[in-house]
Amino acid sequence: MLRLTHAELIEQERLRPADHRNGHAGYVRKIRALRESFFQKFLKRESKAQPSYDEVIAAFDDIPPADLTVPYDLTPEGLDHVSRCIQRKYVIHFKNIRRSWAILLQHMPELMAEDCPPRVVLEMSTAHGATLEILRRKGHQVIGNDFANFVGGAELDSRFRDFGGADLTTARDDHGLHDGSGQVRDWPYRPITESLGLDVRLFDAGTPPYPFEDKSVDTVICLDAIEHYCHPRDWMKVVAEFRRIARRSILLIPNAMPPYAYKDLDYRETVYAFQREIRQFQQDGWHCVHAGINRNQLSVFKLMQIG
Amino acid sequence: MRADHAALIEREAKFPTGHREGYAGFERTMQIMRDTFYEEFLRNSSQKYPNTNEVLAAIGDYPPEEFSNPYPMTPEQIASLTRAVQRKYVLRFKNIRRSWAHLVQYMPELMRKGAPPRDVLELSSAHGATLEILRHKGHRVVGNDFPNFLSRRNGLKSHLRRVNEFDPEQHRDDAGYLDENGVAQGWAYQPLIESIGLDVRLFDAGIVPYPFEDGSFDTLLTFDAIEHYCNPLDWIVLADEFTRVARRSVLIVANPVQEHMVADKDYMAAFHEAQNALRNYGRDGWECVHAGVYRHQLTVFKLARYA
Repeated sequence: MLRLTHAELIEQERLRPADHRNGHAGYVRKIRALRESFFQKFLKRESKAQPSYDEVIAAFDDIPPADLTVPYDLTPEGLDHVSRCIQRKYVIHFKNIRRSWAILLQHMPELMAEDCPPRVVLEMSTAHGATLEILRRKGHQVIGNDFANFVGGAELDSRFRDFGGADLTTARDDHGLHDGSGQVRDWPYRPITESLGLDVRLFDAGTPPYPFEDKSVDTVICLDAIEHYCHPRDWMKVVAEFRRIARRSILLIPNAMPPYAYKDLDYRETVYAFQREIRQFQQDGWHCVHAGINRNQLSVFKLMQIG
Repeated sequence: MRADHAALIEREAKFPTGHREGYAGFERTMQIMRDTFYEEFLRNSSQKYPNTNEVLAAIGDYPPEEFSNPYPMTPEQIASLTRAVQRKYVLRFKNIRRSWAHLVQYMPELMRKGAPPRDVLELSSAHGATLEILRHKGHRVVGNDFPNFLSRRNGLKSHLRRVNEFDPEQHRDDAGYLDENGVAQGWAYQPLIESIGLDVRLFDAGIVPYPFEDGSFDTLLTFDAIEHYCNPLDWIVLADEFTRVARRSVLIVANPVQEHMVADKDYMAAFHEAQNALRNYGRDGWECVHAGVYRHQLTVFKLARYA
């Protein structure tokens, strides 16, 4: 089977916007029809599947606009960089957009609402920046965060350290973007977020304090990333740092436990203990207001300051 | 042979929780299911929507043993219930499990250990499982019910009427609980509710204002009921009434649209407009903070007021 390169995938997105032969207009038609056919499946008891991202978008009838189907505009140097450092699937702009759009519609409707007041949002581990692109379009002030990866290809592994443990700035990362000198200049998604003009701050999310004042943003969002910051025994400390910075709400979605972590009973039990603690969290006016099952695990947590 | 209401209650007494080994068997099933459910995800063999037990297992929190005792009804009470209520709703632990699964996902702040006691109103509390659970957690709970108008004999199609539309000359409930002035002299679940000692107020939730002062409750809940109150054209009027009566949060879970209504274009347009209005809700500090796709439709709306 032909496996397309990063560059070919980007070219394909240019030729076939929104991954539909009739482009964005075709995608919109498909999604409009999908709302009905998706519900028909329920009525006919044919399927009780978790909705796909397109099915979520269809159920909301709120579709990402056409300008977000334009492929990432990368220089040859940028393309070479992302080809070395990021998985192929993440170079498809509209795919990234659809995923973030579906998550935001469900879990942060107050930021996606028509005429909602502008908020200050920090997204941890921004990666390709789709979440921030969307929120920027909705009128919010958005700040991103990123850092090089230390998850197996490097001499340090960030996933098992304490919060505030190993200093990553003096080590080489998975892709050789750090020279270990203590100076941090580069990260895998840089060419993409630069092309989008996003404000992404480079700091290690496993090392507190983060470079933000207390209560300096309205919302902190962290999707599929906390498991890279430190061992789950310290995830509540990470959440405490989010709470220090945020005024209104926090959305945390840990990634699915990978098989190697799931097989490690200690690790698994530690994740369960974290789930138990955060879903019951209540302190200083913060409450867990939604605990959701995603990827067959309890892995969606929304905390907010409730009246 | 199809067991009748009394036989089902007898069976529940003999096999608590519906497990042949009773509550201990149920508890073991839950503990194992958290892992097996997730292993399905790891094998990519399933992305199905979790059933009630899978939700409880994934969250690792399930009803205590006391709820596995059947409703303590007399034979006369059971006979009365048999005439008015579907069989499936006489199984207490089944009712409890379903409500428990809703609450731990959507109202974790009321389900946490040591949660401060709140005032909760549930509209259309039916068998009262939600209220029993919240009472068990230390909250002050009030229910609501009203004789329903589902029969063909009745002139009132409550799902199509506009808000505040009611004519006691025409509108007769199915079982004759309403007197000639339209005042309810009883309701279907009365024997069951009295057996568990809940405070349930009889009023028609399609008529506003409700008989409560502004901000009388911390939280208002309505599960699988709003579609009976009035036409979706007026659901936003009801939402305004919910946020008038509540101080902190409102949870609306609508039933999926019934099959015979899907072909009704006017009804579906009104339904889609109601979905849109609820997820974009923003009034007096209230915002929609979670919008969920459940049973293949956007039917979960949590409104909350930030501190």
